[in-house]
Amino acid sequence: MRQITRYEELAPLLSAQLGRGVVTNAALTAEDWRREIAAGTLRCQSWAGGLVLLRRREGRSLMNFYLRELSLPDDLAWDSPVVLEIAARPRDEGLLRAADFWRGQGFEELYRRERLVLPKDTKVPAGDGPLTARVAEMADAEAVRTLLQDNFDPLTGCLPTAEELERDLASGNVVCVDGPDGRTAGLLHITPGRGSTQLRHLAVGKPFRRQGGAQALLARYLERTGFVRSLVWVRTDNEPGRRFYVKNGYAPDGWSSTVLCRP
Amino acid sequence: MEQLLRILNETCPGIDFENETALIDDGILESLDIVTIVGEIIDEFGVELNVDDLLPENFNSVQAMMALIDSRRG
Repeated sequence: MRQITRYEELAPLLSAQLGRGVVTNAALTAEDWRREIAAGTLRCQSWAGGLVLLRRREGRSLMNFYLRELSLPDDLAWDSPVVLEIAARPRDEGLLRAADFWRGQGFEELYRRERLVLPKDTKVPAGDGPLTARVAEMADAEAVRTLLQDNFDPLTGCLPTAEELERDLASGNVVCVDGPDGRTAGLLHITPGRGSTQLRHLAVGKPFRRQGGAQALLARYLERTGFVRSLVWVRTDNEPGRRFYVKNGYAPDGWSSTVLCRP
Repeated sequence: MEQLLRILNETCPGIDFENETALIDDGILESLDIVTIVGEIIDEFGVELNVDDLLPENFNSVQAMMALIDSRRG
């Protein structure tokens, strides 16, 4: 694997993968890649049959791939651990075969997720619980980070880096609720998209659960984003979470994913 | 245009490509669809596209895709 230090090194490698029959799990934009490069977190290995990119995070690497054929070079050098997610619809046979391929390469399936979508212009009730939601500010950074670390797996929880969180707080992409003592009791963290937003994290601290916090967060987030289409990926073993979203009008749209890890 | 529509209908069936003008903005096409469509366009039209062409505005409508292809033709 070689470190990528300039976007001009990466762009031709990515462009070379654009062709009929290539299978990829990479949905990153040029801006995303530039951020990775600027942070010094991107390495890759290319060969005639494809390209593997590793984005280093604390304690693991996230992998994206392009494959023209389901084979790897003998000298592919792995970090440890490596996390990989493959999202597909039932008709995406190439991606489904790729998931089987990676399982045969030492990647173990950790869990599956299903995508749920809320159509645009759907309003949900804020509920009448005691917790009131607001847009988080930079001053909330430490509390938000703590809540994320307490409620999401460090390996697979898509935790934002410090820089990402700072950027998201500055952009108003985090909504929170405060407990009666003023402490941050819960958060909802999003990734904005074009014509939609993706709900990336939703968590309410244990002492504050069953008080309508999640409902207040969801209502405030949708209002904040102008009621554009909302996407959320829910683990298939998270039945309470799924019930919450379905109750509020979310429905499956056919996309599902497999999260794999090479220890 | 007919050639492009054939590719799109084969790659992403069930979409009204002739009339949709917000394929990306309305979530009808996903970013992974763009990669697949671009691969087909490169092979079918013999044009060179690169990763910096994978902008949502280039794939929001069949007219936008055709404009991209035409801009790359010799």
